[in-house]
Amino acid sequence: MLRFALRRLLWVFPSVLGVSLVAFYILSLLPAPAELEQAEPAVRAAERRERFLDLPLFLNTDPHDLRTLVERALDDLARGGQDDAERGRRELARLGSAALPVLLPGLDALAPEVRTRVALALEPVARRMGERGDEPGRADAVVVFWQRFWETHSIEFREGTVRSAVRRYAEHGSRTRVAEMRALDTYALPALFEALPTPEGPDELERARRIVEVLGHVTGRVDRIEEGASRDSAGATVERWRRWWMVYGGDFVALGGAARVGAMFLETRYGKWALEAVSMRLGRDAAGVPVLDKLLERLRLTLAIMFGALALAYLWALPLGVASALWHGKVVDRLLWASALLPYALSPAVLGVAALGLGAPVGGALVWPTLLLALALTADPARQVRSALLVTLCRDHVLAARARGAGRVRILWAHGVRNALWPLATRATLELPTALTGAFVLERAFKLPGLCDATVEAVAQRDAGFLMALAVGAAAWSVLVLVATDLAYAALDPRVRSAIGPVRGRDA
Amino acid sequence: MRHGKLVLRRLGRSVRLRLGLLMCAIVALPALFADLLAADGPLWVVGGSGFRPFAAVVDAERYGQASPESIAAEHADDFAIWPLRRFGPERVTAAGPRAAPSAEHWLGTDGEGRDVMARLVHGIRRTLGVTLLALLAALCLGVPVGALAGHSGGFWDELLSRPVELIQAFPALVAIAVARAVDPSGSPWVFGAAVAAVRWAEVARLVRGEVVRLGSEDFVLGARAIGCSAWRTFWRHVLPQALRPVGVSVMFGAVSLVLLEVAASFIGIGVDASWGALIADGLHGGGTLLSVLAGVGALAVFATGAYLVADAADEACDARLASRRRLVDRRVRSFVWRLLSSRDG
Repeated sequence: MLRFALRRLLWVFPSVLGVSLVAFYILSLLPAPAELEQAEPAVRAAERRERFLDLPLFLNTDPHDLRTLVERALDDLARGGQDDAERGRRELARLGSAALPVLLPGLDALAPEVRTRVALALEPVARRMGERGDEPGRADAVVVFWQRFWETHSIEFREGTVRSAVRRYAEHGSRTRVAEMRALDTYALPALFEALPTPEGPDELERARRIVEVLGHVTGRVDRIEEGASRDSAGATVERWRRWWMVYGGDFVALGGAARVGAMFLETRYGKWALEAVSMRLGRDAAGVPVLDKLLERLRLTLAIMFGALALAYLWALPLGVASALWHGKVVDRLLWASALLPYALSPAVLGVAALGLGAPVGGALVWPTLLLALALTADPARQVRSALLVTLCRDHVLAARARGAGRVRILWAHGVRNALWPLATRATLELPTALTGAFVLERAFKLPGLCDATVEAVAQRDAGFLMALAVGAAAWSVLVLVATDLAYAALDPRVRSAIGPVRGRDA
Repeated sequence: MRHGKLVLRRLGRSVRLRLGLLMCAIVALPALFADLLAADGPLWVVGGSGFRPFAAVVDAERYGQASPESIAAEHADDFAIWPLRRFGPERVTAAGPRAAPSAEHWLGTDGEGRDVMARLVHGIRRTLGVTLLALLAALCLGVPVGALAGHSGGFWDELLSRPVELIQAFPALVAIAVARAVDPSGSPWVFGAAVAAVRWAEVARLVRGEVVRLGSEDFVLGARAIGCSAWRTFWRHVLPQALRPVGVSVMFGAVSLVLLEVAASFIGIGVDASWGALIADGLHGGGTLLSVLAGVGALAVFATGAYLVADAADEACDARLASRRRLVDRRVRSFVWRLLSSRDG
C-alpha cells in the first residue's frame, strides 16, 4: 500500500514538468510590456536581460559564457572603431579578474596593437584590485605589468584557494582580508555567492553584510546592507543580489563539459523560471510579494469554500438520492429531482447575486458562499446515488438478504447504500474543478479576497509569473487529489486493495 | 435486435427525453436562426448590388459598422429579405439605454441602448457554438487516445493514461485564465481551444475504460473466435459499444460547458458578447432586470433540458438497469411499501 502510494506520488514530478512546459510555452506568447518596448535601447536591453527575454525558450544550443564574452570583447577591441573599442573596454572592465585566466595566458599571442589595447582596457580592473601599474599611461609598461602580474599571481586564481579565502573572510573579516577579497575581484564571485547566507541569525547577518560589501565593490552595483540593518531589509538585499547573480552569473563562469550541457537547458527562459521557482518561492509578482506566499494565502479561502461546499453537497446528496431512489418514478422523486437540478441549472453566479439581493452580507463570513455552492453542487452526486442505488437494490444479494430475514433498514444501509457509496469517491475528485469554478464565481459575487481576485488581476495585467504558478499549482494539486482518490478507493474497496498488492496483516 | 435499436426504443418511451428535447429546442432554435430574428443587414439580397446570399451573416462586420440609414440606402432598390428586427447585437438603438419592452424591442434595451433580444439570441448562438466546437475537438482528440490506450494496454496504456488522468483533474478555469491572458479579446476560438484542451481527457478516460471492459466480454471473444482480425473486432464490435457512454458524457458536458462559460463571463474571462456575458453584464449592474431574467431563464431551461436528455440517455444506455427495469420497479416498490408500512422497522 505504501509502495503503491509512493509510486503514484512520483508521478507528481513528470506531471508538473509537463504542465509547466505547456503553460510556459503558451504564456511566452504574451507580448513584453509596452513601457519596455518604448524604453531607450540601453535600458531596454538591460531590462530584457533582467527578464530573460534575450534567452531562447527551452533549448539554448549556444549558451554564452565567460570565454565567448571575452572573445567578443577582444574582437571589438581588435576592430578598432571608436564605438566598438569603447564597448569592448567596458565589457572587459565589467568581467574583471574572472576574465584574466582566459585572457592573460594568451596575451602574447595577440597582435601588439591589440595587446596594448587589452592591457589598457584592464586598467580599471587593476584599480579595483588595488594593484597599481608602475607608470599608468605608458602602453608597453602596462602590457609588461599584466604579464608580470600573471607570472606572480596566477597561483592565486584557483577555485579551492578562492573558496577558502572567501570562507575565512566571511567568518572573521578584517581589513587585510577585505584587501585580499578585493584583489581577487570578480573571480571570487561564484564562491562569494555560494557563501552568501540568508540572514536569519545575527551571525549570518554579519557574514551576509561582509560578503555584500565585497560584491558591491567588485560589481559596482550599489546595494549594501548597512551596519545594524534589520533582518528583513538585509534579507531583501540578499535576495536582490541572488537574483542579480541568476541573471548575470553566467557571464563570470567559463563552461566546460557537463556544465555546458547543463547550461543548454538552464540558460533558457524556462530554465531560469524553474530555477527561480525552486529557489525563490516561485518568483515575485508585480508588487514584489513572493508568488507562492500570495498563492497559499489566497488559496486558503478558496479551499475552505470548495471543501465546505463539497462536504455539504455530499451530505445532502445522500439522503436526497436515497429518497429519490426509493420513490423512483413517483412525484416525490420528481420534486426532489427538480429541487436539486434547479440550483445547478441556475449556476452559482445567479444564486450568489440573488442571495446578495435578498440581503446576504458582502464579504466576511464564508457561510453564504459555501451554502450556495453546496446547493449548486448537489445535483450530480444525488443523481449518482439514485442510479447506483436503483441498480444495487435489484441485485440478487439484496433479495438473498431479504430472504434471510434481514431488517429493512439494514438492507437499505448495509446492502444498498454502502455498495452504492464507493463509486461516489471518484465522483468527488471529478467534481473538484466544478467546485473551483463555483468558488471563484461566489468569491467574485461576495467580493472575497480569494484566489479569484488574484487570478483575474493577473489576467488583466498579463502577469505571467502568477499564472505560471497557478497552472503548476493546479497540476500538482490534481495529481495529489488523484493519488488521494486511489488510496481512498483502495481503503474502501477490498477488491482494489488486493489488486494493489499484499497488505500487511491478514491478507499477506 | 441490435443494442442501438433497443436504446432508441427505450429512449422513445422516455418522458424525460421528450421534455428535455423540447426545452433544449425552445432555447436552441431561436439561437440557430438568430439572424432571422435580429441582424444589421438583410439576409438575402438579389438586385442592383448583386446577388448575395446570407449577406447579414457573411458581411456582419461591415454592416455592424455602417449606420442603419446607409444600409437602408444601399439596398433601397434591391430585392432583399430583411430580418424580423433590423438591429444586430452590437447596434446602439434609438430607444436609448434601459428602455422598457416595446413592440420594437421585445425585451427592452440594456445599459448601453442595445437590444436585449438581439444580444440574447446571438449570445446563445455564440455560446452554444463554442460549446459544440469544444466538444467536437475534445471528441476528435479523446476518442483515438482513449481507444489506443485501452486497446494496446501495458506500457502504452500507462504512458497515455497518466497524462489523461492528470488533465482530467485539471481545472478548466485555470486553462481559460491562461488563454485569456494571452488573448485578451475574449475570442470564442481561444475559449473553445482552452476548454477542449482540458475536456478531451474525460472522453479519453471513458473510452479507455469501456474498451478495457469490453475486451473481456463474451461477444468480443466470440468475434475473435470466429476469426475476425484484431482491427475488425475493435472497429466493428468494441468501438461502437465504447462510444455510447461517451455520447452521454458529451451531453452532460454540453450543460457543464455552457455553465462554465457563464461562470467565466461572470468572473470576466469569458467569451465576448456571449450568453454568459449578457447574464454577467446584467448581474454586475450593466443591464436591466429583464435582461438578467431573460438570460437566466433561457439558461435554466436549456441546462435543465439538456440534463434531462443526458439523464434519460444514461438510463437507456445502461443495459443492466434497463433490462431489469420492470423487475426494479416491482422489487423496489414492494420494498418501499413494506418499509413504510412496517412498524418494527
